[in-house]
Amino acid sequence: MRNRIRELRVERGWSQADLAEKLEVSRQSVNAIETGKFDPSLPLAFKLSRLFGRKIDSMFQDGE
Amino acid sequence: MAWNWKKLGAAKKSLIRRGAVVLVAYEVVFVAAMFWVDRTKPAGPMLFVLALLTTLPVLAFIATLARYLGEEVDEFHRQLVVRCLLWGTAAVMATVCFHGFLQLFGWRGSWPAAVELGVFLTAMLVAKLTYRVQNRVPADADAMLGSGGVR
Repeated sequence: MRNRIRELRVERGWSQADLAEKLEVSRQSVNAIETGKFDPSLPLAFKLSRLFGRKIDSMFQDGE
Repeated sequence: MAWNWKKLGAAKKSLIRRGAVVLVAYEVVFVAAMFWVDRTKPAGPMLFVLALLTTLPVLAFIATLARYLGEEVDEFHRQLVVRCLLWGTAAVMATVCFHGFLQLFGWRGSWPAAVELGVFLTAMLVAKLTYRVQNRVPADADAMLGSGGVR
């Protein structure tokens, strides 16, 4: 699944470590999500949604 | 990736603490049971009871891992731990089947005691190191520029 997490993070001037701290996960997890190696669960997707002030479907695309 | 206790999550710290206690308990129970068997030469049910006693810390170790999986809030890490456990389980199952096949067809040799435990821990460690290399993160400055992770 493609996503815009990296783009949104960089827009805000946050490092991966900053985002990891806000989400209460590791930097490794943030990197895995950004590179598409790992798709977050709904609770984590909602957390990202609240953090970036965006709807979930505007941050994640299923590639179809 | 340097190992930093302060950066570890609460669940992982608890796992390490509980895991250390369980491993020490395993050593104590195993050595005590061996000492007892060596001194008293028990037979029959008593020997079975002692053998069962040494399995309790192993079960406690699995319970510790299960508790960690319930407490870990980092779902990506949780997934990696589950995969490592699967590799460990696969290695043990393969070892047991291999050994069983050899014995079934007349092999009379023996392997070191508790070899399955060593196989399980080794497979888990190899899987953990492999996943760590596969998922290593770029320097934060590079990630800041959006240059991407190592695939």
